[in-house]
Amino acid sequence: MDANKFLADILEQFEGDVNDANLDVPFKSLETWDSLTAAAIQVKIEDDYQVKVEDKNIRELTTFRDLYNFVLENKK
Amino acid sequence: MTKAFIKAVSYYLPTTYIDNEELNAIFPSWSADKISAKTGIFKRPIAKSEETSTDLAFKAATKLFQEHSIRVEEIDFILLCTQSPDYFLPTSACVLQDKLGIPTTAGALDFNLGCSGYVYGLSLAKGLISAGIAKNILFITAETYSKYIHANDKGNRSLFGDAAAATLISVDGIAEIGDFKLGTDGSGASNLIVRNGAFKHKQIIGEDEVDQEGNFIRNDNNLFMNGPEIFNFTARAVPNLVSTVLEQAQLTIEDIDLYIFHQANEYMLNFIRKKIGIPSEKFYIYLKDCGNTVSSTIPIALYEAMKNKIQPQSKVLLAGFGVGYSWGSTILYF
Repeated sequence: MDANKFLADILEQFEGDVNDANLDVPFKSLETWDSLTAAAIQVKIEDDYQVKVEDKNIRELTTFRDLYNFVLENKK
Repeated sequence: MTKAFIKAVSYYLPTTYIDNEELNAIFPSWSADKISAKTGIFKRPIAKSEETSTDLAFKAATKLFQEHSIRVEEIDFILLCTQSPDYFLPTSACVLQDKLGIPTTAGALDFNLGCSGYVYGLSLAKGLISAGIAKNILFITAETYSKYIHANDKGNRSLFGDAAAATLISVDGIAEIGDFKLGTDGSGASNLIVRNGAFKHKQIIGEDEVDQEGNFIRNDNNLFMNGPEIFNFTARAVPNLVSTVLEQAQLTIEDIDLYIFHQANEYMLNFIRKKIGIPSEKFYIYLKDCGNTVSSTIPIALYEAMKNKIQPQSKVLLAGFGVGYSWGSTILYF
């Protein structure tokens, strides 16, 4: 699983200037983060990576890398 | 079987608005830029306190008659879609028959649906025409969700606008109404609801629920929407809805000239558009000056798209989805 492709897929769910975001940025700190962004990320990951990300996972994970590692660990 | 056509469309918006700057002044942590970036909405028409959905419906119908030189004597059926009626009873459509001067020989009924309501109304109208029951149906969508929304509910106040739209459906016209795909999943009922006020919870007085910072979450007297759950439902249901209606019509995604979906919010619309694989130039968005007007978003967008995006021979796919859950789609053949 390509980490940069994963990051691009997730960043697509944010609007505005997210070009300087990298894997070590806390995703909930981005300006346009809200509950709809979370829902979009959950659907995107389930569709494209076949991993179910629950609300509590979103609450517990901090950076894009945490999210990437979570998907990597739970991917069948 | 007699074919059914859309013959004319008009709409009416209340003249008072709330814009992003006003929302920003009420909710200082809520930036105007963030609101418009996420929702695509800059202002929402809001009915005055004494102005009801039937008032908006009357104005939309009057505009339809004037703009398209339609005589009220021609109308032989009134369909009205609303979830914010003037009364529990009588039906708003009956009140409108008298106010508009439509012949007493006309049938009239209301039906209670939200964002899927326009597509459902077209399906009912087509049924009435196909069965030879009516020839000229006045179909009105009219909603004043603002009256359900709590003053402190910044999310819903940012999204919803009040409006009414009027459509004439007839045995001839500008766009033939194609076949339908409809669907329902009542397991999602609690995710978009006004819980109190009708007979299930008539005597219960709602209280404000707030989070740790004191931000408003919900009050059961008011409109409650679980945004992430509605997003999930939409992301799952709509792509399937579109593919089944296309399959039924033996058409591909490329064959459709314009897609007009219920205008929920721009963020969600773009997510579904990309998921389905619709090019942005074929995907109509009209939210900026009216917001999510529930069952009126599709006819409002249709009216605007007919000015420059829709040509003779265009195929236009409509899809409505939301409260219920309820969804529906059809194709218009111009």
